Amino acid sequence: MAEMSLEDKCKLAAKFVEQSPPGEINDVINDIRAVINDDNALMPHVLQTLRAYNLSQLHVVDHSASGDVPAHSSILSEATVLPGTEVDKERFVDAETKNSFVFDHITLAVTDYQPYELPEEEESFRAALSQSLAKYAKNHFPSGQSSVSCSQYPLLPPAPSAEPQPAEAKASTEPTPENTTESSVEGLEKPVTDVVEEQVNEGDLEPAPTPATGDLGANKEKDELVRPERLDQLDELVEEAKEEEEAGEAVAKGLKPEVTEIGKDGEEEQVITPTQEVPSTEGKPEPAAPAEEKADIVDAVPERKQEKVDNPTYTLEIVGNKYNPNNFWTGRWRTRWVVDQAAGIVEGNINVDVHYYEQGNVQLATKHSASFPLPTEEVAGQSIASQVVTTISKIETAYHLELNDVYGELGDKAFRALRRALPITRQKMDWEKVGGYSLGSDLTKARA
Amino acid sequence: MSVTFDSLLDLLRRLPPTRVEENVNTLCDLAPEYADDLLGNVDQPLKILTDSEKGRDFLGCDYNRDGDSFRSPWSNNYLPNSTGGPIPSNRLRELEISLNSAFDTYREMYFEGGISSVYLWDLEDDPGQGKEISFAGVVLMKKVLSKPSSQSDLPETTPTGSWDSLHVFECQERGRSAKYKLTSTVMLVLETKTLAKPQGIKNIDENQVKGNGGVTLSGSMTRQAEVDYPLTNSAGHIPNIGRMVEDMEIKMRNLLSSVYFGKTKDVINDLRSQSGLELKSKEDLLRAELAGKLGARKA
Repeated sequence: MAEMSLEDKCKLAAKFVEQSPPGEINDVINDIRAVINDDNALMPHVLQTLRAYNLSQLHVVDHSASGDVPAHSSILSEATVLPGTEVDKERFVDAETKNSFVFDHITLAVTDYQPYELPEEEESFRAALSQSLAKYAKNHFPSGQSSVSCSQYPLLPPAPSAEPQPAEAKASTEPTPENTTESSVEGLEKPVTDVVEEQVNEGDLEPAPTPATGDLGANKEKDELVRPERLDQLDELVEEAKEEEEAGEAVAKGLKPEVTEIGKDGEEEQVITPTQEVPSTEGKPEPAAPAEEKADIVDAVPERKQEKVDNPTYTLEIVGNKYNPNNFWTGRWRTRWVVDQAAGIVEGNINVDVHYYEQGNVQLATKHSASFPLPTEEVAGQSIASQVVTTISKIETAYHLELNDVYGELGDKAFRALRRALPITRQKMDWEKVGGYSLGSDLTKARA
Repeated sequence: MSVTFDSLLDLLRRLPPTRVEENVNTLCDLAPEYADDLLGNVDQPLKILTDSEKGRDFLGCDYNRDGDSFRSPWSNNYLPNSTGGPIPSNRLRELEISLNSAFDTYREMYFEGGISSVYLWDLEDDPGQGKEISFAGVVLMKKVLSKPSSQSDLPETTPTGSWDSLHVFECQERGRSAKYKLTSTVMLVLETKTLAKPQGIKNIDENQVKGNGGVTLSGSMTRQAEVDYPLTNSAGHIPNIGRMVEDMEIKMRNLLSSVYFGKTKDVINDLRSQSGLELKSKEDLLRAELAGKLGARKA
């Protein structure tokens, strides 16, 4: 049998990435690197599957503080890909701070921030959804990160000649979470806040009285977040490049013991230094887009045509990660809801993955799809955005309850149907009286 | 073992147990030099085969395999093709027949269905000469819960699943006792559907809220044990091996149902708070306050 070509082996090995349990992506990649033992050949394939993994698993990207914008996080997903950049140089949107950026899936480096602005109509609905979703996520997911994105094309930046660049760049980096939501929502904004508190909590078993103090900024508290997996042990070069970036997060990092553990684990493993070219670090995160970059865009798009889609969709996503490698467990809860105004429907998927691997390998994998009609008007002072999130919270709570019940169903009934804990006699087997003794006595004779 | 082989095993400890067969095959393609070691070290779900001559199903694993054929415990023949593969010595074959019969009873009592097979092999070059023998064997159990048919009255959410267990042992007779070394693996898959019907949504007809999904809980675990049992005659191996396997299977079943599955449930509730974190922190405050007051009263 002819052995497979290196290229085919790399393709096959890279596919294992998609099966990686939560928070163990580094371990899986290091294992396949050891098996293939040729990073130059392997890593380009890993890059592809890793990108798909990061997007489907809602990888949380950390953004360090810059100017007035505090350190915060955003989510990678199909929905946060900047519309229009899918084919060329892929960019992701951080809608809360109105920026887009380039993400390196191997080094986890975030570079080349550029302003991102939705048309006012889309942004006001997006911001309303985002505010409601952030409140729900904060209340129910101890390490949750939420995100709402809109499929509409962003507004083109003003023509370079029309406005001096520095001014524009400055304006675009200023939005903080507060003015993101307040800027455009106008009269809608206040009712949303008040109603959301009650309505979201109505989805719970017991309504929780909530102080109406939480603002979006509070959700970004770094110490709430369990850091996502990093590939930073990949090689020292990358480590060096990232050091500066991470310096600002050192304090927050110290508060997260689990994170440190992950790092240690990674270091203990044998690291094979890849000879592969490492992306240069010149593109450090910068609030203002470099001037040349902007010029390129203008060159590439001679006709500054504002693209627009009718009835854009809004995607609401939450990811909650908990990794505890010292106690051999990791877990991830993902939800993704798409508001489709044209179809008048909200459709969602919920996935829960848990891995427990102390002297064994036990995995829970769930997938649940749900849908409900999109509310069409404000009801009793509750905005459409708030109604959508309220219904989502109720469905997810019902699902969470059902999951807990499933354990009773599976653990008792199904498990017993497979194998009883004890025979129906409630006693262990009497092996002395079991059949087959005639043969047994023959054996005795044969032995004697 | 080499670094590469360790990585192969580490990978299989992390990837979903439900896909172990497919993943082992892929890894054999990626590292053909380790294919034999992988197949010998990684337990996979047992194959269900049929001995049409004896009209009974039997189980296949690496221990009764020769090429693409498997030895049937009922006829002692390799099927589907007679390969002339190894068979146990006469003395061991008789014990094998007795063990198959004993574990058939065991299977009926614990599994109320399913299939069992026991295979033995000699560990000596010239079996049957000495009085004290050493041999090895494997006890296999498998049960599958299939989907209820569409005509059945069972609800849509009736769970399905499978249990596979392999108990590999070595036995060394020593005068009036025997030493047994056991390595047991259980592979389990449980699956069910979810509907998630929420209640009390204003303004939306609850029937318009649709939901469906699936939950898969799977696991594999391996444990080892060593025991010394008295042995007065060859037939004594049957209760000895029987008790050893029974005790181990009971222990592993309990571990899976309470520790392993219980842990994954705890993690779900760590990921998402059912009652809401704000309510929880208020309750915690209240509890601390009460505890403080009670403490003050006692003092």
